[in-house]
Amino acid sequence: MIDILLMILTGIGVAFFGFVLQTSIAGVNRKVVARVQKRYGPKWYQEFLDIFKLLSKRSVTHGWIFDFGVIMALGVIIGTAMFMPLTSSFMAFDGYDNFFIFVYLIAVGMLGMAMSASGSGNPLASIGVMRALTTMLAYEVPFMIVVLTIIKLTGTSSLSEIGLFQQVAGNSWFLIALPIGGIVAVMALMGMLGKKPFETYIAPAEIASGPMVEYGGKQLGMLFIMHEITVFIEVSLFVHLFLGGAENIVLFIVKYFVVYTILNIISSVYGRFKIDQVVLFFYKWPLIMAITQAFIAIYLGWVI
Amino acid sequence: MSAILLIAVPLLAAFISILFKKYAHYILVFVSFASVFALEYMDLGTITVGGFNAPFGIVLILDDYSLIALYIVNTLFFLVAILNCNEFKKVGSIMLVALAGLNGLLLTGDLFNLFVFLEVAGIAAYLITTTNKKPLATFNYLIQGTVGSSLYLLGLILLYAMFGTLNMADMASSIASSGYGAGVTAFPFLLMFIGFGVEAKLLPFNSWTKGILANSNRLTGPMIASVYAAAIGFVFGRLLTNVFVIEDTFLIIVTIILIFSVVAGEAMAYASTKVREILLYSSVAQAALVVVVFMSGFTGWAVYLIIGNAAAKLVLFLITNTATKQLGNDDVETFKGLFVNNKIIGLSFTAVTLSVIGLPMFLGFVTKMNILENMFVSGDYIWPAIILITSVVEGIYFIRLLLNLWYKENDLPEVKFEFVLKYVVVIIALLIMVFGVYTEPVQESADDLVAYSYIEGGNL
Amino acid sequence: MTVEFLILVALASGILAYFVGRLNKVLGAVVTIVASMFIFIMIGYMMQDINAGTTFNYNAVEYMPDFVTFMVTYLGLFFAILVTFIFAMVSFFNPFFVEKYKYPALYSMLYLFSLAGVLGVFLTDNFMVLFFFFEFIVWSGLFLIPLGKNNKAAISYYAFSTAGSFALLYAIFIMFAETGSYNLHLGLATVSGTTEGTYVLALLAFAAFAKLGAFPLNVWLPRALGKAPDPITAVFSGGLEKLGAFVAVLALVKLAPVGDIAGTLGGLTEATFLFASQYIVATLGAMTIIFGTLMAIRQDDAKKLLAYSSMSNGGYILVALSLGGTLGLSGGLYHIVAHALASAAAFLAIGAVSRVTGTTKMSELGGMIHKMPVTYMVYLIAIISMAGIPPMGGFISKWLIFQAVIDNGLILIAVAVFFGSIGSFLYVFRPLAALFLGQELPQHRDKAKEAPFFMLLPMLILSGLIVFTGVMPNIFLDFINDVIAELGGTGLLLGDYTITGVNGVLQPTLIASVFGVGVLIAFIIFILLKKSKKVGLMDTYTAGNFIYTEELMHYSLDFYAPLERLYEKHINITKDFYKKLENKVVDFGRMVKYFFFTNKPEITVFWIIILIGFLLWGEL
Repeated sequence: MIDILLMILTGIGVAFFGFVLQTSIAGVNRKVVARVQKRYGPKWYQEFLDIFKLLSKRSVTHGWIFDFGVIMALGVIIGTAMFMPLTSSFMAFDGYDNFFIFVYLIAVGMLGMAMSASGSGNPLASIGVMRALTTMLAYEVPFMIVVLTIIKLTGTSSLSEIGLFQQVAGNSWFLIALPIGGIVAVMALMGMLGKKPFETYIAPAEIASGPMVEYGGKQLGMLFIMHEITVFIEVSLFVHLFLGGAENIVLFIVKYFVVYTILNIISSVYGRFKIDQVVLFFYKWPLIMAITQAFIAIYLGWVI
Repeated sequence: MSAILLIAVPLLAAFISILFKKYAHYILVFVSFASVFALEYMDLGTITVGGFNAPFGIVLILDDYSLIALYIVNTLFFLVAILNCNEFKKVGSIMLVALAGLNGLLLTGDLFNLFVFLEVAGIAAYLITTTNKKPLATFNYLIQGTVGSSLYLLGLILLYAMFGTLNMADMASSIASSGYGAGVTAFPFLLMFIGFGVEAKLLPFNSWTKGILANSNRLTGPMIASVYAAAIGFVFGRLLTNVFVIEDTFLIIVTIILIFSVVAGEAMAYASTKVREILLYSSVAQAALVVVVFMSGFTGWAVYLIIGNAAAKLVLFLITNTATKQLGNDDVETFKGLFVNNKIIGLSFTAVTLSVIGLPMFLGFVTKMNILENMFVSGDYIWPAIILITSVVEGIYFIRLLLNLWYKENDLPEVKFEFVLKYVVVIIALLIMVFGVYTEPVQESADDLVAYSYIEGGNL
Repeated sequence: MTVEFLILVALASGILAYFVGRLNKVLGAVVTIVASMFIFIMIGYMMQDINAGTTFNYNAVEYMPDFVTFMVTYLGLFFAILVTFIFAMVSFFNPFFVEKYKYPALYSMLYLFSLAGVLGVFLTDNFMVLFFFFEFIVWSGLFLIPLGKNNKAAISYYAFSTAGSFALLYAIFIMFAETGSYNLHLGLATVSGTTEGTYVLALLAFAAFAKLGAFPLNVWLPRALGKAPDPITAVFSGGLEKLGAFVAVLALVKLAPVGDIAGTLGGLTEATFLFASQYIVATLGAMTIIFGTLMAIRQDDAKKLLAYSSMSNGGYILVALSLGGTLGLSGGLYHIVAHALASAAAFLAIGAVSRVTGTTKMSELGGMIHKMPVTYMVYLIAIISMAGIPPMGGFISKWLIFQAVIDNGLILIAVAVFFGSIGSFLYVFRPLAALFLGQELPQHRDKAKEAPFFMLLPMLILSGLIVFTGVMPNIFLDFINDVIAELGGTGLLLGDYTITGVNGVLQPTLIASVFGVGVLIAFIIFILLKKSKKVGLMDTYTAGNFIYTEELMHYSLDFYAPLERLYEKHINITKDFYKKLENKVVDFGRMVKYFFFTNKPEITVFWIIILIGFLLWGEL
């Protein structure tokens, strides 16, 4: 019993760590992106300030589902983060860091948010949700095919074991071992994080930030926290699957920072796709590349 | 009691009824009832007519097979007669002739005698169909019927020239012992087959059916589609199993005709939008199916197929023609919602239709399953496939019809069905249902038929 | 308690329901509740027995032909319990709905007749009995569907079901010709692996596809499910469709796969031995998933949407069963359970809405959550399971199926499987957003109220079970392991709380509890912060416009329009195909009529001459 309590506490710790890590790195990144665009940018802890300010404000609600959705979204994302291994040996629930759990639990978070947004009664929110789901349909399939290749090659779907597999094989990262799949994964990750050119579902100038249009105060603050943790989960997934996991926490933070920053820099020079372009894009090259990669790796055995 | 009475009494009654024209329909009902009743007291066996022994004289054969056939045909005839005797008083005498002709057809063991009865029954049928008030259609029927029976006669003449006998059993054994190949007898048999094909509604020879049945009334519809179809089916069955030798090219021709009849019959019914047309085209397909089953040698089940069809078509045509008369036409569109206020009639119609399609709980299911089973056991995999595929089509158009007749919200057609008709259709539907569940007697009698009638009908 | 007794009970109570229903419509429907609950409990009781021993056999019923036998197997019992449960749950809806239909007494009778048919199909070892009840269900369903006022739906249902049944029948006769008996196990065992086995496999697969509404035999499913009376839709999707899954198990598991093209596609790590038949069925299953998903995304009618989702889930079942193996089998069987529960619950929730509003079109509905919160929660739980998200039952089965697909290295099938899985988020969200959430439309504001207790009860029981199958799946998987053992396979490795797959261990209970901990934390955060002010739904950001009409603020029509535009031109291939096929039959019929049925006897004479000429060809 104590064991389980301890595990759960560790899990909460991981989630909290993820939140702090991502929020700080996001702050740093705001500065990085600002430099790319020849601005100064805010302080690195600006994100924290925003969130605490929002949480402390008094807000409006559009009915119980509006609140319930927010709670569900944040709660489930915290739950998901609790499963995330930080290094290849440190995690709250050893042996249960199954890839599919992350993919699907993130979806519950999304569902909670979507529900809450639709419950607000604002059509812009519904449009945003529609775009978010459509984008998800676009990037998820090529990404899953690449992961399928990895799972088939390693014989496990546990994130930490996939990380270990790469380390044992002499730090042969799947990003390099499966180069075509690696590119697909990077593109899919950008879709997941909603970075340009795939930020169609937020699109502030078009649909007033889409799903978020009705939020303010504590609900928005909670959704900010949820967003940060979601990013933490998605980037960590990438680190574990494609960058050989992490032997220790420092390496994890370094890899994490590099991935996130590079994505931000790439994204800062792009425009925005229309939603049907997003779908067409992902179902053209990334999907073909993912399938090619899977075929080469599984049936021909060509893994670098 | 001698079976010859079944022919003689109606014929005599027909002449008497001409003298008492006013009472012709009473005589008709009485005689047709009496002939059903009399069957109970008939002795099985062969009756020689005129003192000449077979194969030189004319014989009548009353075996299990013809007994069943007589029961069915006479019962159906009686039902048709009693339901229509008041409405069609004029044709009372002709109906009696028809009864004599039909009984003769079923009883005779002589091929030429068969021709005579075919003509008697045929002429009666032409006259009965005049009540449709469509002279052109009747004329068409007359021409084709005559062409058919002439071809039959021509074929028979050829056979007589070859084998010197007219007796069915004698003919069969002569052919078997003559050592001729199938090619020699194929031509006369084809002529005879075509001759019967006209009456049995096989496809290229049956263009008369549309004119007759699509314009039929309460008398002619059940009479032609049920009573005549059953009688012709039984006789054709006897010829197919006992006399005909179907091989080689002849077999190919027959198979093509039959496949075409089944497939095209169902397709035509599918393409039809009038209730009577649907029924008549479906009976084209069913008639061909009966021939198929006889040819495959499953006499018992062919008999049940005939029974099921005859009973079903009686109910369907009775209900349809009664409604048509009151509604003016027989478009499915007009009939829509017919059963909403006539639930009893509707249930009987539904039960009968489901039986024709071959859904479980009904007699048709038992028949169909056994036919298919026997075909598979005998190694035939083609016909079952054809039967099953066409059954899907058949099911669709019948179900479409049924649903249209059951489900409509307002503007319901108003049709009155009289009490007797309700009685008759309900009883037939119930029988079909009872024997669909309680299958043991059906199974046994069908097996018996295969065992007995085949031998007795063939060798006297 | 013997099987034939239960069937007789179902039939007798059906007739009773008819006569009671003639006197009082609602009372007749109450009979269906009592009868189906009784039968469900008795079947459940049977499970107690079967655990003690193995398969047991009932002798022939005396007054029937001697081939009528019934037999209880794990496989049959698995399906029978599931489907009778769905029947029992849905029956609670009957009293609230019968009055709307044209023939209420008939409705109650046929409802129980279908139930009798279900028992007959699942609990027999005789093919003829199986077929008899198969067709029996077809014709009961045939008259149930048009009670929802659409004849066309019923006709399509009949056409496809019968085509399927006849394929089954043909297969049965092939086996009969081989063995001389209608014994199911003997027949399948005898033909398995032989040339006849190939035909039997193809025909049984056809039957399964027709019953499941799988591609390309899918046309009837959305029509029938979309138009049938609401409770019947739930029964069809949750119960009767599973007949197809049952036949699929017979075809794909009990028969050896055919077409030896294994090896050539052997994977890197270990050769994956799949046969041509497995590939074909899996590919068609994958097509079903994609097709169903794409169509579901487009629908405006919530029932049709769920119908297409049923189709897509049928595809998952086919993929899983065709791959076979421990994972495939248990995934497929578990998916049958998960989908039956979820789709029944979802259809019932939609049915409850349609009862008060009279429509299931999403464009005419909105904001039902404010009047029907419980129904909403039921729907939410159902769709979470349907989308395969933990902690619901659907996740467990999808996890197993994914592993089976990955383990076999089937990339293209995986594309379909993943696509369907993500796509299901899209379509299940639509009724959620358009029907339950969004603006509360004024036309339903006054009429709508929460469903009565006896409608909520079955929905809540189903929801409870959906959660339970997701949190404690091992109880169910244990039974599935028995089924698999009976089918000759190896069951899943189960711990106290864990399920071991090929590439990972899953502990559903843990996921659920962590889920709970997370929500608790979020709830604490929420409750500690300042209370929000409640504002109306129309009080929203509109970029400075003043809008006072709810409809204008409700985004529900053509929800995924940008996505639909990408494929809407290519999606109707199957429908068009059957339409063309039908036209061909009609054309052929008309042609024959034109050529043969004229008023000119000389045409007949012409054909006679042709025939005689054909016979005498070369002789003269």
